[in-house]
Amino acid sequence: MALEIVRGNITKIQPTKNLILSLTKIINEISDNGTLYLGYPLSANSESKITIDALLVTEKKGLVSFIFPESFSDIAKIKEEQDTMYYQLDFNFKKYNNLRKGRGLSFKPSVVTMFPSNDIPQIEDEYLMASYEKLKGIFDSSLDEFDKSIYPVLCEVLQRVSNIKPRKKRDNVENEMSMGGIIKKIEKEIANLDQWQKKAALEIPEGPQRIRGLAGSGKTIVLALKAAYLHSQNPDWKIAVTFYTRALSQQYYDLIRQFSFEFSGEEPNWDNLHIIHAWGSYQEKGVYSIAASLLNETPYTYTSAVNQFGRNDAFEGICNKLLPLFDSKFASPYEVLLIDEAQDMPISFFKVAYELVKNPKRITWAYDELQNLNETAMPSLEEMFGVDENGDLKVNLETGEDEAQRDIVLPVCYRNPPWTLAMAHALGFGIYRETGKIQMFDELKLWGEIGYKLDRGKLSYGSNVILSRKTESTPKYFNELLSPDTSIYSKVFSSTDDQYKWISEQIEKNINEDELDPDDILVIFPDAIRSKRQYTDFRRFLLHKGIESVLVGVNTDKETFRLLDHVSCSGIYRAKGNESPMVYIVNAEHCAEGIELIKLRNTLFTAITRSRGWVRICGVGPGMDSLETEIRSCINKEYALDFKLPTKKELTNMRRINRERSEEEVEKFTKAQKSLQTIIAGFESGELDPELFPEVRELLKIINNTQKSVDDDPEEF
Amino acid sequence: MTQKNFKKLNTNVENTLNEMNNSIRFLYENRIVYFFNVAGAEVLDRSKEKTMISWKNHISSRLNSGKSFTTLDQYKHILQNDSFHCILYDGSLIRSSFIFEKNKIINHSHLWWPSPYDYRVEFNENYTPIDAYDDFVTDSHWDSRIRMRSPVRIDFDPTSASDIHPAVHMHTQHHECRMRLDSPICFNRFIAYILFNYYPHLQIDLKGLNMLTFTYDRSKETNFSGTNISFV
Repeated sequence: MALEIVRGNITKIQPTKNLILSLTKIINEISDNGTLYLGYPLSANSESKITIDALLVTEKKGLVSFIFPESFSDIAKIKEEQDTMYYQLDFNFKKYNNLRKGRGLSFKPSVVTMFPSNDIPQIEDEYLMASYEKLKGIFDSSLDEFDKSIYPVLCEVLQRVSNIKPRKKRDNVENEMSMGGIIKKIEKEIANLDQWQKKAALEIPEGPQRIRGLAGSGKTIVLALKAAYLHSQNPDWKIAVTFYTRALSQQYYDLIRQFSFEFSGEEPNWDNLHIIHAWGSYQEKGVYSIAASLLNETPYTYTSAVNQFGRNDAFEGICNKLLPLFDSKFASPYEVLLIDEAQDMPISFFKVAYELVKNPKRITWAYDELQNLNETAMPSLEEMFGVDENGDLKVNLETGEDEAQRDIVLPVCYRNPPWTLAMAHALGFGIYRETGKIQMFDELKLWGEIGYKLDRGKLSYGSNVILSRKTESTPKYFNELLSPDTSIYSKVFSSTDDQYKWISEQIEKNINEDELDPDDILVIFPDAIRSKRQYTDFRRFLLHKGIESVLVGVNTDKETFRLLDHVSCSGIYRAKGNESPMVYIVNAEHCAEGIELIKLRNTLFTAITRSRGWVRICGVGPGMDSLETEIRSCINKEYALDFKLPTKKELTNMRRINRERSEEEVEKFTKAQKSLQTIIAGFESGELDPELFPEVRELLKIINNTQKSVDDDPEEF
Repeated sequence: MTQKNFKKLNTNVENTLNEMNNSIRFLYENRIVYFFNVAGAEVLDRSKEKTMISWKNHISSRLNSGKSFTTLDQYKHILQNDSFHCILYDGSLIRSSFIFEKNKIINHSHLWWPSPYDYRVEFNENYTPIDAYDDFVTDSHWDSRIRMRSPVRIDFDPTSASDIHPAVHMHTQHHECRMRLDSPICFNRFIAYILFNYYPHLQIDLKGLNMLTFTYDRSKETNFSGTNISFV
């Protein structure tokens, strides 16, 4: 039995502390179960907004709202506050069919005014008042009976985020079980399912906060909710929301506007709430460009940054250039900064972000480690924000007593079916790769936090484990509407043209028979360098069938990801942050093997997790054969992850081998690879004789030794 | 407008489409074209056998009108609206339209819109011509990036022909500037003119390009006394 606390905007600190103490004790004593919301946004319209200081919901006692009064002696005022609160609760909850009985509410909410001492004025019995010391008395004798069966409904209503309307009406759907019919149902379900997200959004610590979550776990919604909530509670604060994928900008505007109406009843004041790109430019505000302007620096454009620092280090380089200019006189412009896609930001960006935010540094950053397409791992807190003069971390995620959560993990994946997610993890980590795994989480407990359960083994370095998706981390609709064998399909083709032909035929079928719209279909080309060329070849097959398409970012403007009646085709960078019911991954063999394998597998992970319903992984050649083998293994294990967790040494070794490389290293690798291929081909054809190359024996010796040193690694726990 | 729509079209239309799509592919393979849209045709009036070859999203707009000629807005509009046949490696745009009636050409318009800036960066998935445009309009050093070149448009418009408006003419610098040309020109002749004159450093061998000739109504030829240009 326990009392969970969701700490939102707390305006009265001491009374709130006292109440938490009393309620924790009481709930324990009466063996009850419930949640206390602090700073709960009940409702709003253009005239007023109602935020409840403390709202308790428990299994035995139902809904209890607490008032910390302005005056302890003005009886008329105390009565009026209680009456208004009761009216608001009654009015708001009556809106929900499943909380109504006849014309009234199916339960009676209670309102209690709290007093610091036992010196409480006498009023009629129906007005509940108590001191923290005597609150238990109210629970024992004055609260109305509550029907336990209403509790889950009440919880759901309290955590619901209203009105995330499906993007499309899908009026053309005739067959309920067609792909179009299924996605229509899923979209409707998603609109009503946001419990975890609201809780995470309302946790507002007096300081930094980290939010980790899988792709599709609702990080964007959490940040949008947080921004709208904080803005409604503190309209004078300057709040910024930032991200890397430009296409997210419109999504943020839409969501924040919608949530603002819910929390404050009006359009947000965009002067104080900024939705900005991480970079920005001379004219368009961005986190970097704002910092640069405040430091009287001319912000770099992308091209000038690439010219100076190289493509991979452009953003890192320009942020680094700003850092020495910050000093104690710098006036930080923001009270709050919310960072989405933090996995894509360079270390120096966080240092700039730190300077831009006033104390107590309310910086929230959300990320999914596996969606990182650049670096090997999320940097440590020390690397991101640095240490102070005493060597202590400048940003600390330890949650103090009576504090809101500073480290949140979102465990439910709303976007991807569980088997698709497990497949994405299996391929992303190389769980079933014959020549060994590619990467692994540093913190093993993260597996549990992101929604996996341990079916067998022990979660420790070097142990054998079997992990599978937890039921509670999977929305019900996936199991009801989809099945693994229809969701995921992989195919190896003998030629690229065969592959393109098959995909174009499938797309034609999706549109003509499966009731999907062309813009429900996303074709991803994982090879960033060749994606445009591959697209132009592939487009011939689509055009042959009269299907129009766009290459996102090339013949659509920057903010547009979907165009009516067009199939979206995209490289991996533009696909990030977006999703589609049907995803085709083309030439997936690009991600099978190679230098910088972590990056390649993260690309594959990101591509697979764009799918809300169905994904088709296609490719040609030996690379695709080996991917297909990995895919088969995962299917044979019924989408469980059955593998040996690496030892710490193996983990370091994996990282070292598969890390991102400099351009020179890549060049060296490519040259060596080509030479080896020539040698092998020469040996195979008989044109070259291995006996003539003493270097070959040397090479074999090196390979044997490397293998041995990995095998000899002691197990570490 | 897709290939499905232009089956069983007259030979002039088919030849022109073949010429355009083949040449665009040739330029793409030679990395002169960065991205292209496949040219298609649309039957405007079946009874008159009137067919148009054009670019995607060919809709009337203020930004397509003569007065927008040479404005940055027009460049942006063509680029962002996907209303081109190809984007060259430097961000310049090319598009062409033709109208045929039976075996005669009755209208054409070829446009080369040179990139208004030069970033000397190769386009890639993360940095497309659309990104370059955004860079330019927000670049504090725009003055060192700008390239002040005029678009070139070659029109064949016999219905408007008069003593001051030659049937075939070239616009440059000003929308009312019309330099007289002898006859309508095919896509390849236009491409050859552009590459030869404005991209001399590429030294691309265009000898293999086939040049189509058209049948057209010569009765509209006028006694024009302004500037004449001849294409060899």
